[in-house]
Amino acid sequence: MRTKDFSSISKSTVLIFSMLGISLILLLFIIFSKPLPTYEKSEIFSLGTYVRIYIAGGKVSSKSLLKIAEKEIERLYAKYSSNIPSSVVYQLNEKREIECDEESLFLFQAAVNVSKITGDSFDPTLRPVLMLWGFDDVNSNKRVPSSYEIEQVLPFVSYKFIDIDSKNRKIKLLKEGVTVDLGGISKGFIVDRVIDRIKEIDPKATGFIDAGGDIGIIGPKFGNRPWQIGIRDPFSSDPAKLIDTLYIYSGAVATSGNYERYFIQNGTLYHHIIDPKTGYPAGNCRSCTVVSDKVMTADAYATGLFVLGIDNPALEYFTKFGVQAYLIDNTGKTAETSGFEYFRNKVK
Amino acid sequence: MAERAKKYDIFIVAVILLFAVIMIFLNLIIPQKGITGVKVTVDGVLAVSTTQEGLYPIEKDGKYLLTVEFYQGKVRVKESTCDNQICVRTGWISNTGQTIVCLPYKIVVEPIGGTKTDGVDIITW
Repeated sequence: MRTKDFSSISKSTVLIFSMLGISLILLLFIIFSKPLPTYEKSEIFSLGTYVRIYIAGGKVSSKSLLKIAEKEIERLYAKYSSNIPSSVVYQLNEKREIECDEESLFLFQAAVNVSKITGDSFDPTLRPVLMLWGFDDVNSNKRVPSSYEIEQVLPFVSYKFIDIDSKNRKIKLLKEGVTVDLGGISKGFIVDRVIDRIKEIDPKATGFIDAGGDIGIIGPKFGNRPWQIGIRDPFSSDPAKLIDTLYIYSGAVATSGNYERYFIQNGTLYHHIIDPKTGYPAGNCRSCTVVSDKVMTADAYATGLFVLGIDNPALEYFTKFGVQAYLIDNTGKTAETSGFEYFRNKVK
Repeated sequence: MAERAKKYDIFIVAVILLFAVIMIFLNLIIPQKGITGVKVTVDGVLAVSTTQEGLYPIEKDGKYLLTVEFYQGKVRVKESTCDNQICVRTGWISNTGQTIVCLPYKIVVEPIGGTKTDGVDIITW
């Protein structure tokens, strides 16, 4: 009788243990293999840099969204690159006055606005100076121009020579010799437009577009997590060495740094961020990272605030324009706006 | 005899469960480190894809552009004929997810295999 009892208990124990075990395995399986959106990636050379696109579609396939994004980038690059003859910018430089669409008017107006707000530390008419230095294109010959050469072209550098007539949809260059290059703002603008386009087609799409370190977020990682964005250590030649990490759910991040595009002549380093007021590489900054709603804003202000330098007493003022900035100077000293810290917190 | 068989059953079930749980956790905890090869593309066209250590000169239309070196789970651009030398200054990389990019020649050097270990999703620079 006793033996029988024991054997029946042991039989049910086996059963219970097996059931528990199987449920445990199933539970673990469910927890750890929760189907997450699959990200498709694409890498293209465009916008004068190396562009990485990561997309997971909500209702449209990730691959189709990638194709749309690539095409849209190429289309907009051809529309705004100053080196492509059919572009709005090339046409303006050639014809001096053009009629254009709302989108172009908006971009030109945005460029002029940033110039005004930053006290001409960002300027879309800097092209003649950039050409002297060879910073207008990645393949241009780099050299240090003479001070005479710079003096000769500086009178043609001012956003004030761009006349925008939004009523008649016309843009005019007011002075002979003035040329426009939207390079400092169009890259960000194009990324914004592409993200808008993707969201129109698939509002639930997530991912990001990284155009040479200027980053626009399509949607949070897997729909609910922040993207972890490292700020490159500007004192290291290793591009993967980081100085800080940000957690971003939406919006944009861009950095201007003098450690990537530069050349050395007679022991002096000359970088590509030129101060429009002097015609020479800008002061004491080494890196300026800006977080904003739009990549266009982040991109343009990263350049403008870089030029204004680390001792800019009005840094906080720029938060009025939806900009949070973090600057590092050549000695490693840092400055930042009051809201920048927010992006360092993983849990918001 | 029957009782012993049942005890033996419990033992087997327990071992299998333990094994399953250990395997699940091992898979999660132990990341695969190191890269096993390298892929080089020139303007989107695959030029080299290899798991063999060595030096790989990269050419386009018969013109020599740069040399990629893959050695002991790391990869670098050893030398380049380009102007800005950013690719050479990048030095060795050993994480999946990292890339070496030469903008003037539109060359991308990408590690193959391994697990991404630099921690972040994107880098701003």
